[in-house]
Amino acid sequence: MTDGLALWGAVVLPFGLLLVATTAASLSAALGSAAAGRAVPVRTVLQPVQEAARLLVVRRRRTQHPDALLWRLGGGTLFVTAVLAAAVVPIGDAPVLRSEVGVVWFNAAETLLWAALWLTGWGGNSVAGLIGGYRFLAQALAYELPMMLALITAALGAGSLDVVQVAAAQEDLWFVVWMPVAFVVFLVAALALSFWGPFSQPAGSDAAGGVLAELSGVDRLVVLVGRYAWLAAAAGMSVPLFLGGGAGPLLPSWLWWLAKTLAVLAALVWVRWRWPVVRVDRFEEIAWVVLLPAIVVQALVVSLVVI
Amino acid sequence: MELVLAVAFGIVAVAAAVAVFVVDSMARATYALLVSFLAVAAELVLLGSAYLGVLTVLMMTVEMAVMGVFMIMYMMNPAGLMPMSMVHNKRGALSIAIGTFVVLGAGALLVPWPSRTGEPPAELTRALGFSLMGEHMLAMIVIGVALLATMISAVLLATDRGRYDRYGDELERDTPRDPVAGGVGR
Amino acid sequence: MDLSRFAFARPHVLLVESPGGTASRLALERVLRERGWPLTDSPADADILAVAGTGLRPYADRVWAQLPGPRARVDLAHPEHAGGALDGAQRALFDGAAQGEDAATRSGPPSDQSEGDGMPAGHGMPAAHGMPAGLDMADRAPDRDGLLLDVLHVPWGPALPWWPAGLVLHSRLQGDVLAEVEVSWVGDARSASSFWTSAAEAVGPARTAAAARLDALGRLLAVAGWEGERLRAQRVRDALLDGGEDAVRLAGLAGLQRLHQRVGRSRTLARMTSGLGRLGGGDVTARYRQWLTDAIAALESGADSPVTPLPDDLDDVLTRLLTGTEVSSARLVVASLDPWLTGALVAGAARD
Repeated sequence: MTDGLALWGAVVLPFGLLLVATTAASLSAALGSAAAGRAVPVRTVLQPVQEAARLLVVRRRRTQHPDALLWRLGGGTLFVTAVLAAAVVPIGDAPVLRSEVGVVWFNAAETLLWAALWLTGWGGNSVAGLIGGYRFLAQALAYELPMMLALITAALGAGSLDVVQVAAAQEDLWFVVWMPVAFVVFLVAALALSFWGPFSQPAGSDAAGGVLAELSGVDRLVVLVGRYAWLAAAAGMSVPLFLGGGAGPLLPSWLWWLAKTLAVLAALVWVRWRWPVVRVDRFEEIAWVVLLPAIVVQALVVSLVVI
Repeated sequence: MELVLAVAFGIVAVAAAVAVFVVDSMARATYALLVSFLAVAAELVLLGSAYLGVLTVLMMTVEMAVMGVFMIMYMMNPAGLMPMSMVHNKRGALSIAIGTFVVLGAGALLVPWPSRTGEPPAELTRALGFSLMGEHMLAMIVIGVALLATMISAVLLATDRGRYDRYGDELERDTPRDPVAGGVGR
Repeated sequence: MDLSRFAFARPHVLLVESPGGTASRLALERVLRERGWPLTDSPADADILAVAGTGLRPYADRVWAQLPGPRARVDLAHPEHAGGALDGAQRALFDGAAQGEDAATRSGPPSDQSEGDGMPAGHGMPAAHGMPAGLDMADRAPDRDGLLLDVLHVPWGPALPWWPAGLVLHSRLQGDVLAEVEVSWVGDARSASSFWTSAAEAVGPARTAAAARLDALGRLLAVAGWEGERLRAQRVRDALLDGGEDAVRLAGLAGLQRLHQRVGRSRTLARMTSGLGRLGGGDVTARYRQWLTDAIAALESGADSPVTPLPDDLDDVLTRLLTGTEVSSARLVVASLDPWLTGALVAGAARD
């Protein structure tokens, strides 16, 4: 656990993550305006800020007999787990926290998200929230194994669980070129874990907002921030895993990392406006019958190449 | 610094473990147990076994999250929110717990631990992998497959609907008869 | 109050429809879309409660009690006042002093227990399944898969967004499965059809036939979680209902064909809806595809397109179709039958 950026990195990281997450929210707002057939003025960029101000003004909601402690704890933990995950992502060459098991670390932070989001849905003592929580856990079980195998496949190609070394191993050829399935599975999992776009059924409108159903004011704000932060963290992680990390001509490596991250993030945000929501009960079968075998074959191919 | 952290996490682990028996709700007990495990995982990381520590976080979180859901689904208790006693056979449980703690604690303090002779390898995770798998690769593979087969058979035995229920006695149907159709569209 | 002006520049609106409120709903939807004010799914996220029509009083009041505040309310009886009413609601949100007073008069979390026996337990939102003081034990009963699970009694509607006006679905819920369903109605739900009859007089039967189907499609897409295409369907619908002939020729038909490409041919949407709510040989997928082809046919031929007839005892059909489905499937099935349930599609209704 050495070799990371200095301590200031840990201080700056949450703010940096917040900034990238806000970019994602701005982009989504712009796409939403375009979909409604309205002009997209420059000030649409500020919409997330305005939205945050609104949520700060709105009062917090109370429900009957909630488990208030666990409810608030769940919502508040979302962003923390996103920061933990982002800590092992190399910003160019060096992550805030260099770990020889960075890939597994990312995975572990993501499972903490499971627990946090379940509490967010369940804690409010609301039918809609509970349904949202059930849906997220079912979805999580379905994407988790493909996700783990996608992470392992990248690590296998590099022969290391250290994210920095995984990025370094792509000097000649980006992993996305010969592990396309793993890359796609990782992105699908990224959407699913941030319950975004096609995988937003845990917060679906059919269940009055699911896990978000009873959240208002600052409670809702922290959950939404956590969600965008996870989207950003996952996009940031996909770059060192599959897109060569900070490699690129002329520009400094951190700038290349940022450019690639924003490109992946934009794609993830765009998906929300392009596809309908996928029902969890149907995704379940797709995950087990299609994604899992596909990624196992991908892992097998990579192992054979490595040997 | 590390000592301070180790002590702090140790206190958190024990306090959360005590909380498991003190709190009066299933969910809180489950999550208190999770906090305890997370603190133990942090201790492992501090000891230099990052891999084992992170793995503990991963496994335990998933386990607790799923366990919580099942408890809440099956309990005759609205969404697990009603206060209830989390302990059965208080006296027996307490004596076993304290007994185990004393034995293990005494062991930790009384055993003459050998002093370190070499240096730890640069890449601990790799060393761990080799020492586990290097000599016993075949055994590990066999155990892995056997475990997987066991899990699949257990699920098969537990489910009340097999393929004859889904596809008919002669397996004659093209599409299975399920209460809910899956997403692949078979 | 500069901060609240900035904060509520784009207030979130919870829009529910009461029987006979179709015209008001359409007017509200259009103004909200043009202003970019988002429609929300739950009272917790709403700043403004907009009730289209006036027939939902007790139910809307209970949803109103669940808005966290600052809050404002619009009860729209006359569709032409939609813009002004929403302006007024936004001004009410800016008024910090009045909102403070409003907050002071409220105490404790909203109760959504049904009060007394006479009142139907339809608070609309499936909110906290509030338990009487002291917390009751939940019932348990065997569920669809043979497990013994908790049972909750949850009403759906009538004050629920994207929901047929006036429909109340009393459900016995296990997990997210509707183990038992009972259908009832508030007011004269079928009176909604009068809006489409008068629209047919104003803009002609062909455009009305297409618009009614696009309205249904928009609501289905909202429930299916496809916001971008939902907005497109509603834009085309509004163009059909009040654009000039040229606008319809340009925007209407082109927009419809694009919807047909994107939505009608979407394999993802088809996969998510296939096999649900089978009725007369067609499932949800077949029904929304039929709406699109019917709408295009109506516009191209300039005449009303015939409506696929459904059984008259739709309430019993609904009960049968919904029993044993998950909430998400149930919402899709209800949305796919919405135009028949509310009388927007009745064989011959859109004809002169």
